Amino acid sequence: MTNERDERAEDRDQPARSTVVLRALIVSSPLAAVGVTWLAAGRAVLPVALLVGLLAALCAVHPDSHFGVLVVAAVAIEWLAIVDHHATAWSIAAAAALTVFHAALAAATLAPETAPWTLAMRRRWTRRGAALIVASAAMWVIVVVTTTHAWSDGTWLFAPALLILAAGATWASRRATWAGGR
Amino acid sequence: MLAGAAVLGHRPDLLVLAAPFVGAAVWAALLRPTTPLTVHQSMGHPTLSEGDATTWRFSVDDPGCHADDIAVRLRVPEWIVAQPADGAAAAGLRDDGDRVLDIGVRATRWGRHRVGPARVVASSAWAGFQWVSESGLDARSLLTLPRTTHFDATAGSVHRPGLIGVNRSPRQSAGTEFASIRPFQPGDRLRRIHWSRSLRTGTLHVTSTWADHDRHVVLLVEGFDDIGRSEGIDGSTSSLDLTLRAAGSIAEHFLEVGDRVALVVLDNRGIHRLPAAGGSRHLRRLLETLSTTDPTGRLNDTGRVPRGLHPGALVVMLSPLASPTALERAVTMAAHGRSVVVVDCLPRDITQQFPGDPLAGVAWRIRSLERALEIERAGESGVAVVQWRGPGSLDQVLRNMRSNATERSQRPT
Repeated sequence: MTNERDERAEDRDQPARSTVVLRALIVSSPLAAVGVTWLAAGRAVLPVALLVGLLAALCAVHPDSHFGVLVVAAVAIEWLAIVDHHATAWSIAAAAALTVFHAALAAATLAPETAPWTLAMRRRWTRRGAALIVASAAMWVIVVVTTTHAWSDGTWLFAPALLILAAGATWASRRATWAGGR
Repeated sequence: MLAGAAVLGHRPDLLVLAAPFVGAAVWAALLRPTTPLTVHQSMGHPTLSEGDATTWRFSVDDPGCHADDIAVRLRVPEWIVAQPADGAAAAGLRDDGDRVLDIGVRATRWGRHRVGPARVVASSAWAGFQWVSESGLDARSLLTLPRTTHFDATAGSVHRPGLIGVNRSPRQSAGTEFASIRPFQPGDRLRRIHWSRSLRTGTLHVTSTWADHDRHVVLLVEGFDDIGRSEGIDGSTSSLDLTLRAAGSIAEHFLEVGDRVALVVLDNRGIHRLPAAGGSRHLRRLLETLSTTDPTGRLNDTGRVPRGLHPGALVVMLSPLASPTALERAVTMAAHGRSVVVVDCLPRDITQQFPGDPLAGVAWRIRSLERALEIERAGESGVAVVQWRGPGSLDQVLRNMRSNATERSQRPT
């Protein structure tokens, strides 16, 4: 009798299909970003892929943890270290992969593993993710424009970016909590 | 972090990688919720029958309209099946309709189940901010009544005194149903005289009627043991499942035909009584009492006959007859002049319910042989034992008891 009750409990605890998809995206998207980095650089660094894969797997198990920051940091450091072409279009693909990773990680914290997502939720998250990818593409266009002109020594890009970052950080720190929430 | 590295390291390509994170952060901060949410929960029906389902509804009041998604996790105990599975559900607050989240709750076995508490989490855009319900979403009690099957006993009633019910007594007495026209006897009422027959024959004749009969049934339920494997309403049944469902079905039948039914439940916590009464409300009370039967107490069956049983009642005793004590109790009641029917509620496949334990199967086969002997001896003492096989199980026994009672009533004294 105990075994059958355990089996019933296991059936109840089966993750929803949406959860499986999200976990798969959490693992696969950083690896895709690493792959894109290799394509942009023309060479591969296998230990980084292993590290990113391990960290991504940890993120899939514990989406509420801070392993996601390490994954993004690892991908960024690899990009910084091996990609020499600063206006490469591969950066859009890498940004898209990181967008998927970020969205999947955030989405995985929304609901219990066994809760199925509604169609409207899936559509909204997909729409918003696509919007961020479009924003990345727009950013790439700005980067290309500012770095391919002779007058560009980076000042036109980095000075406003620095100001925007400082203002954004100050503004965001004032809006860090939900009243009555976390 | 990425944007900072891009700026400080003069790497514009990192700004492209940073763009989605900055965008999501700004998006989340712009849509930051400023007012707490209010969550209401309600349960469709606090009382169900086995196999029935109700809806647990959560509604969210979001005055700021900044919460995007809501997720609920309802704690469900054993014998409760939630839909979606595990009592977990998620929905978009605005794009999924009316800010209501429903979780189906289906009870698969009788008893009082505590469902909940629930935890509700609301998230804003990009899950940037989350609101978790802290209190106010308490657990609720869900009473599940045993499932009754329509019991189709067609046998007539056993002779019992009383003049209220709708059953025709085997005796002729004051009543409403015509029986015969017979010669006048001292004591007959004058209004019963059949004048046309009397004038034609020259002697007084009266119309006789069958007495209306009130049946008083006592259901004596033994809940000391729960033998066998229970899988709820959808699977195999344990002895207590059979006992309670049979008791509910028998009670429903007798109450439907206008009889009065009393209930005495013996379990390891003591004796629980429900006085005799009739009607659908009484059936509800009776099922509620049955559903609180608890075999996990510390008292043991002493074999004593519970006091206060109506002397003229038909006692229907429901028991798995796991120990000889149960039949001894029935024999004692029969020896005191009560009409006793024992309904055997041991699952018929009890010897096959322990596939991993061959000794248990052998033990139950030996016990079954002993039970057969005990049942035979009880029959010799005037106690009818019938195995519960669903509707109609008691028909043959009631017919036999009725014919015996008729013979006794017609025997010259």
